[in-house]
Amino acid sequence: MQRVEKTASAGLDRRNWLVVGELEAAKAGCSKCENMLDAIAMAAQERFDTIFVVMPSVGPAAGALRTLRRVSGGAKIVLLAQMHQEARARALMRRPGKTTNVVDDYFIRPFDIESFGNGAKVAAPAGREQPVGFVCSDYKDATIRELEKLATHDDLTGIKNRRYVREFLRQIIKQAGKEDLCVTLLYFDIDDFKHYNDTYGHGVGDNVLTQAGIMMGRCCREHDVVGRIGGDEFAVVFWDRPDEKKATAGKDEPESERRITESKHPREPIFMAERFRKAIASAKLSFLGSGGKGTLTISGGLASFPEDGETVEELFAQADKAMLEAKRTGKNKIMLVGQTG
Amino acid sequence: VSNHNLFVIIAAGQRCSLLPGVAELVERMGVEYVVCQDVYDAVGELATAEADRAVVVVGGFEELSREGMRLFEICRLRKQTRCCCIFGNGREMASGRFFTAIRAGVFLARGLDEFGRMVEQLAANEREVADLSKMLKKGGNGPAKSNVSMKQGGVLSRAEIEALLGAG
Repeated sequence: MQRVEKTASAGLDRRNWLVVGELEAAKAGCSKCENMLDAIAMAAQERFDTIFVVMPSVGPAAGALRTLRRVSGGAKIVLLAQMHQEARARALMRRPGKTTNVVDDYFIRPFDIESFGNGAKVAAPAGREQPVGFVCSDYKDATIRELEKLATHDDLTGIKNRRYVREFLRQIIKQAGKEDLCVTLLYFDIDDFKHYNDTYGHGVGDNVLTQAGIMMGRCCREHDVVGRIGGDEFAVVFWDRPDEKKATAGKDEPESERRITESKHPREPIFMAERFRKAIASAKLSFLGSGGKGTLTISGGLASFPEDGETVEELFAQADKAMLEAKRTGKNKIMLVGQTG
Repeated sequence: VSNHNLFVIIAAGQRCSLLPGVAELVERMGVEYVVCQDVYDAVGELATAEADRAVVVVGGFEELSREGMRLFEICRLRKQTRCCCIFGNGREMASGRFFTAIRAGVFLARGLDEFGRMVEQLAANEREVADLSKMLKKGGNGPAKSNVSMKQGGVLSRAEIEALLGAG
């Protein structure tokens, strides 16, 4: 088993921490091993207070974590996930219908292990211009949690904010380059939003934005990221998780059939965007009043990586262009990059 | 015949085709065994097994070689532990990973019969060791060192490797 020598370190006692996987910040004081099998063997032999598991792109399997839990004698198990792995980490923490969790907590990487425990403050991640949020920890106090939420969520609608969406998109594009993932950006806004504000007041305008965020969230998958970019503009990052893609690859349908040939866009994001457009257009919104329009419509544009753009900026620019085309040609529609009329 | 000091860990989920045959075989031999869902569960069992107990971890090559074949190394480092992969046919044996497994001391069995013979041999060794221990405790003049104990770490000798490769 490969491990670093245990040494006493100043401040927190890290001698009883085990780090599983590659973590740049795992410094002196922690025990370390490379994979889950070694972790299980080590955890059965000695007692650790906390075991940090760096989530690989595929796995770790719930079974492996369950075994780690069983042999580790009450150690806290903490997952260290990338942003796009958050939904899976959350699912492992809260398994439906199960009385015990597979893991106790999770953090989003980059993670500064020095900041963990004993109420120590979370330091800003190194090498990043803007820190992006960390979630759900019993170890951090309420103030820190509140600050994290403020940094990553839109205050009005409760969905993710511009900063989070852009950072997520940046990370998932990077991942997509390595693992051949499908990533598609939907950029949309509310048609004639000014009309709602001017006719019914800003309170109703705020309600419109909140409803749009909620409905979009219901129309896409749990791991897709829905955010408000500003004003009445929203963005959704649709992506195929590595494990899903691997599990289905070559099984049910060939890749060529999964895409609409002429657009090169994956079929699922188009379907979900259209479903949302129809849902919001047909919803009866009582707060708009009997004298109002009663319904909302949206216009949006879809841009896919890497066909339509290879960076965050390019994808936003292309999706924006497609959205403007949708507006120009009559509103209440979703358009693909390069599509006309 | 009871083989109480030998313990078999079967790393095979309920749907694995190996499971019924292996479980039936070891049960018939009077060897205690446990069925694990996967290789992680198997390592959990191995790590919590009594230290002086001889253990055999058995399963299909695909399952046991997960995580870069770390299980083989874990077995090699533990005393009185043997890892055994059962192959349905010889086709997988041509891969480079097969040689790595051999170097790590993994016993490669082509079917249940070969696996059964290996377990029988280990069980016989364990019985002899147990008899010698009893004799020594009674103050007998048995040999100070047993010449029938299991090879340290369960690593195959060069002759065994060559015999296996030749047979393949």
